[in-house]
Amino acid sequence: MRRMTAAATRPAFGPCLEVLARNCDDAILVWDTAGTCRLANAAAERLTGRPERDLTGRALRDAVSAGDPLNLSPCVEATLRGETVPEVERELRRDGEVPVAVRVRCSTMRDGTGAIVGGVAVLRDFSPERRAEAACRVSERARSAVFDAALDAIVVVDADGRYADANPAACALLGRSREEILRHWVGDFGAPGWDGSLAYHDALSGGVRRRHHRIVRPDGTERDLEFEVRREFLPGLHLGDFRDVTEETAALAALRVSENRFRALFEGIPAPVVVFRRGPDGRLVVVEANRAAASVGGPRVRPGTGAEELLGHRPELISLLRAAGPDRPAAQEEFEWRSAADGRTLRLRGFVCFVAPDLIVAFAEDVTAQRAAESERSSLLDAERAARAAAERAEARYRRLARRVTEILESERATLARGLHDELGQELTALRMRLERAALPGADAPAIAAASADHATELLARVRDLSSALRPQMLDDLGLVAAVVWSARRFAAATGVEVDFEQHAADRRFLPEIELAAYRIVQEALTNVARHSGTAAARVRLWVRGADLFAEVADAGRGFDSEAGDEPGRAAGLAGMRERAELAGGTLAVESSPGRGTVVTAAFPDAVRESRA
Amino acid sequence: MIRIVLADDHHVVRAGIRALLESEPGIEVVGEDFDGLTVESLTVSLRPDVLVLDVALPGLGGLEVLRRVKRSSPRVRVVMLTMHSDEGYVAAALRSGAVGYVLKCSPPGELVRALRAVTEGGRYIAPPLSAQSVDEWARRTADAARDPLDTLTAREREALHLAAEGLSNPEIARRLGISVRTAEAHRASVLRKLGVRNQAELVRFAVERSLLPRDGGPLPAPPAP
Repeated sequence: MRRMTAAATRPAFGPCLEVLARNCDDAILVWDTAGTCRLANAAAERLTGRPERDLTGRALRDAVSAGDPLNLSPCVEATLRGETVPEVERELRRDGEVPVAVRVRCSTMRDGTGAIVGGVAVLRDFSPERRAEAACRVSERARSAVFDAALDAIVVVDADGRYADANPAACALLGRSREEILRHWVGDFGAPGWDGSLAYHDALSGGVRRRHHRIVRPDGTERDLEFEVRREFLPGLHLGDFRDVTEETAALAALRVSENRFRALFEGIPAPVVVFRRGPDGRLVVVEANRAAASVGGPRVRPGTGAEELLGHRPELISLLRAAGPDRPAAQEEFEWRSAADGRTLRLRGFVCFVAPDLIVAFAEDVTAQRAAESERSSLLDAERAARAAAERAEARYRRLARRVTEILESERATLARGLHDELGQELTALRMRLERAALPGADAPAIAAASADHATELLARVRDLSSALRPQMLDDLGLVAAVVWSARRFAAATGVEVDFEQHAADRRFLPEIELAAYRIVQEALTNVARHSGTAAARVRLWVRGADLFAEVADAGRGFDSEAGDEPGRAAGLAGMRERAELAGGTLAVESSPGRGTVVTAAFPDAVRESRA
Repeated sequence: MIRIVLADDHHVVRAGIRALLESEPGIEVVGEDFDGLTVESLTVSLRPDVLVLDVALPGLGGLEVLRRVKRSSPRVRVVMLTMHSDEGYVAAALRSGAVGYVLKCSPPGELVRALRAVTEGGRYIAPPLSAQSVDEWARRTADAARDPLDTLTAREREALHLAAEGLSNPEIARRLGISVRTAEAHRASVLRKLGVRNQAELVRFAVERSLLPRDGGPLPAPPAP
């Protein structure tokens, strides 16, 4: 507490004033009617930087600072005149220090009678205040700038739920002016079916939450929003942040549709498709694979699998993938692949497309069926060609055989004609001559008749021989066994070669051409025995196995090397027998070795003739 | 009275036989025919005691007519009359139910003798044919049971052994010193003669006939699947 200088000139300002002045944080200066400072409190000392004794006793205008920079004189004088002085703001400069902003309030002091006794000034340092104000103004400007310039729509909503402010972006979004917005409640702009206030209060109660909303503008257009609400960003005020996501939403929806379409297409393609990404290290990794690819390639075909892991066992396919590049956008190769689904070996035509520096699409076309069809077609063509060749060969053979048949026919006819004419003709002529002699006088008619009868009998036998050479009646009447036995007996009688006959299951009818062929072959074979074997015994066997007929003629004579081919001199005969057999659908086998005899076997499949019911 | 139907396609021969028979007491010719197709029905309607039937009848052939007549008129006795003097015909006729066989070139009385003989229930085979020769014929042509193995030639039997052991055709050919085609022919012939269809059945046959050792010996190669 500063001691007040006790001075006679000092007016008695009263203890109240002193106490007030002492306790006040504001600087207080009191002057008398002469304008001399009579009181300065501690705060005044601090403010001015002068001690009290320098302040008091001096004219006020000098007291604060020399030259009255604060320009207090007019105030002092005004107070002494009893005028009301408005509050003024001054800047107090102190040497070497930052100027201090002060607010000065001056008042007239009157005593009890109302006489002016002096004046009092209260000075308040409001520089912090002013700084704050300035900062606030800056901040406010900044805030305004942000508020106004923000691309996001920002609104301020009061505690009642009424719009308190809306930035230009919000106005644009809502399609309304700020004044109009400020007349509305928060949920007023919702599009049909959208309850904005509910969403708002929901978000409000939940703290910071992103919510989706849809508003309708005065022109009828609707916009999709994403909003966020911040509670009490200022006392009693909530901040709402909107983002117009209409395009975004539409784009997302379109993207989703496109994605679905792509997915459907991708999965629906029956061909396996695998998309690889090429990493910076050059490694290829699967990023997409459709169902067909997974089916054919197995469970490892899925995003994340490396190409080496997938195709490690097929290095040629890996190098095909690697080779794809901008200069080789699409490579195509055919390869075989064992399907993981069913183990079948497929033939695939693979395509590798270079889509981007880091994206390679590989897909394969299943050409298994195609190739199989092609190879089948080509083997069908081969088969057709072979069949045609076989048909040509068969036709040639047929023509050859037909020619042979004609030759045989003609030769036999010639033999027959010769036989008829030369032998029989002559004999009949001789017979006629004999008979004519019976008419001559002196002829012994009975004797001639008897001799002629014998002759005729002989001729009859000859005719029968010829006729049986042409076509043995017995073959038609009684069948193969009877005909062969009969033929063998006549052969034995004619050549002296004994014939041992045996049959098994053959005493039945066979197809006529087979009966004839077998009969003729046995005849010819027996003839050969007589001519070439040098023996006097032959064996003829006929037997049936299943539906096949076998006819065999064997001898134990000279034989020949049948391995080396048909014996020269007999070749024509053997060939003729073979032809006969083949013409009847059968085969002929000749087995012979020198000194070990000969066996001729004819085999006729499906020879049995079905009996008439 | 022995009632006769005559079936022969030579009307001169027929006339002659009819004259011959009608001059015999107790024999009457009640019908004649020359077409094999109608003889049976004629026989059914006339019901003779004996049918004299030519083997070489046009239409059906004498043997077939014989069979049909025996079916439809079993009590009619049939005597074959024919030019064929071969035992085969006789045997066939007798097998089919004829009771007499007379050659056309036989003396006239032969047929009458035959008719009287068969009417009394016997058989008649005119000389030069005889019952013995016919029996001999029957024996000769009788069925002789045949072991399929016997039907193989020597080479075929060799091929069978090798084939049953599982050798292929080229190997068989090499072993026997023959061409592959011959080996194939032997194998085909063996299969056909034995009545087997494939390698498996061939091996089974060989084992059953003890051509291959069952135990302890070299095993045959497994049949191709």
